[in-house]
Amino acid sequence: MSTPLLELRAVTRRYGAREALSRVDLDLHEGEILVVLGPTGAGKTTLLRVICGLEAPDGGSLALGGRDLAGVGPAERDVALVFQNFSLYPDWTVRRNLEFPLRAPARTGGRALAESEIRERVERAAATLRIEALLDRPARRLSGGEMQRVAIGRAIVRKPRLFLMDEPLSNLDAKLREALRVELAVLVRSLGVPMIYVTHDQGEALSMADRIAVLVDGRIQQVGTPREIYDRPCSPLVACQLGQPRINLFEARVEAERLLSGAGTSLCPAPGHAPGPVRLGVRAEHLRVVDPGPDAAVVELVEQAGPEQLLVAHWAGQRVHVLVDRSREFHVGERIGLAVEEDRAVLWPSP
Amino acid sequence: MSGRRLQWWFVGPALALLVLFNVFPLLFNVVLSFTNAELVGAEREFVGGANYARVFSDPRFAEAIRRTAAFVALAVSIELALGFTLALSIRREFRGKALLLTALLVPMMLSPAVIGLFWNLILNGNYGILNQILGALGLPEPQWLTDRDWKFTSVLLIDVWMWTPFMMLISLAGLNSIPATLYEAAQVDRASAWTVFRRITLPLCAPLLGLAVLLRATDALKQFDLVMATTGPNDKSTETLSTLLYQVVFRDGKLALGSAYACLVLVLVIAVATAFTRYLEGLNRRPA
Repeated sequence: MSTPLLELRAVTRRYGAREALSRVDLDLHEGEILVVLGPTGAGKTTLLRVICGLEAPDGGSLALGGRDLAGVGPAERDVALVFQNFSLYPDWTVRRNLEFPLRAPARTGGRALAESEIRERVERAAATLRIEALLDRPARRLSGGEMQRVAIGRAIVRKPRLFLMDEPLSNLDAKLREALRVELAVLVRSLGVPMIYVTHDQGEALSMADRIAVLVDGRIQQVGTPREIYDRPCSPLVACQLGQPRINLFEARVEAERLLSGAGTSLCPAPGHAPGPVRLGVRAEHLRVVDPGPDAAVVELVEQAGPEQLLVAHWAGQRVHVLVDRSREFHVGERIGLAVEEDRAVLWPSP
Repeated sequence: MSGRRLQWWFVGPALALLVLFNVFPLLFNVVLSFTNAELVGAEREFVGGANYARVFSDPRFAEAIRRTAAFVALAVSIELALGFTLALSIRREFRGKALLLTALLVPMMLSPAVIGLFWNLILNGNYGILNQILGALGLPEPQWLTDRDWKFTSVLLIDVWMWTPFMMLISLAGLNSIPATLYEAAQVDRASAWTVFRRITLPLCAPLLGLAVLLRATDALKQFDLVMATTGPNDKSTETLSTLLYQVVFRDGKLALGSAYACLVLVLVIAVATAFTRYLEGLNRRPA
């Protein structure tokens, strides 16, 4: 693989005694969309702030295009950051907001762009984001969705080396969010500028990412393609970050090449596994409904989820989610048999 | 008791006090201004617009208006500029900020009479500490409170000293309400410091600063206590509308003439305040 555009090595950032980022290693390649997924407070925003230079790391190093970034200010890094709360210049029109990143460098000694070039770039960005009609309106008179488009526009007019987006869609309503995330992914890919996109929304992560980095408690837990992370999560913690409904987790043990739940229910065969405690993760779609046997499950709730239905059932001493097709009707209280698709289940050593 | 009558019981006392102490005196003042009433003596006759005619032909009134206007304009703009600059320089957190803030707020908390008195001591031409310092430095020692060319400046100086903290406090509140991410976005966008100030700091502070200017301006229009405590009324170089009024009514005893002055001052203050609030509303009407 080619050398990465952005390299983070053991980057650490502390706030007082708390480590917001601990020894983060991350690579970003040209043209790649990397989504950093993690719950609130995982250190996602801190990561972006360190990358764009608003904060200095307490340890480790960053390099952009092979150049060490220590002591390089945000203005010189040539990255564009879209904030969660838009951050437009309120008394300027949309056009001036979009022009600003193009005019600013000239004032601080950079290369000045020709007026025609500025106008052309602003209009292209506006057309791409469908905000041409808003160009002469002051930023403070825009709705949330419009502001966010302008904020994204302000990032794309510049053709930076890197886009950094901090949950840019989280302040928008669900419909707009879904529409914009598709637009954004298509747009960024067409520009060919790599992007680090931070979100706590797994839907956004799965739909946009070339690779996902799961960040929890300031640590990168796993980096991989959406498929890898969904199918082979490296820990129960990562498994819980992706997938709707949540993955079913069992504290289990291997006995005589079979997996038994804590309550003694036989879950599935485990050929070749040494006896002992393990943890098992099974996604809802990897549980099959079979004829009820001695270890039957009891249906507690049936949720219609469009093309499928979601069963919430009591099985092996705990609550499990089962995703099944719509062909069969289930009732609350019904006894069903469940079988784990053992080649799809994930086993982790017990802690 | 019906709801309507209950309402009157709640509003009544406040309303009665308002009528007794605000509305009645105001109307009484208007009535007086059309008579020849004196402070002493019970005789009064209706004289029509004679008092107003006198006021308008009186160069002293015109002079007081000019001086008051100059005072308001100078005091408020200096206080705004100084206060805002101070606020900008202490907006960051640093050790001892709370102590410094408290110290800076003291002048605002003191009674103007007290301030007038101790500035009298500071500015005294013969034994005042300011002139002692100036003398020690080999600089000229003006008679701050008695020299005709310096009196007005002295009163202005004291007012600035007293009210700059107020402007600073409001500016600080305005500055603190600006989201930090706006500054960070500007930083990433490679904006110059001037652009950040001109495009973020100033416009976002403007409505609050406007309010501070309005409050200070209406207050400065009524400037009375500092003049009384330093040069006293009836002083050609420092006579403001309020001290002129005091002189006419309480020293010269011309109650009716003073009432006419007061009515005109009132109209003036209302006009200025209305114009200003209109402007402020315009600023605030732009949705955030």
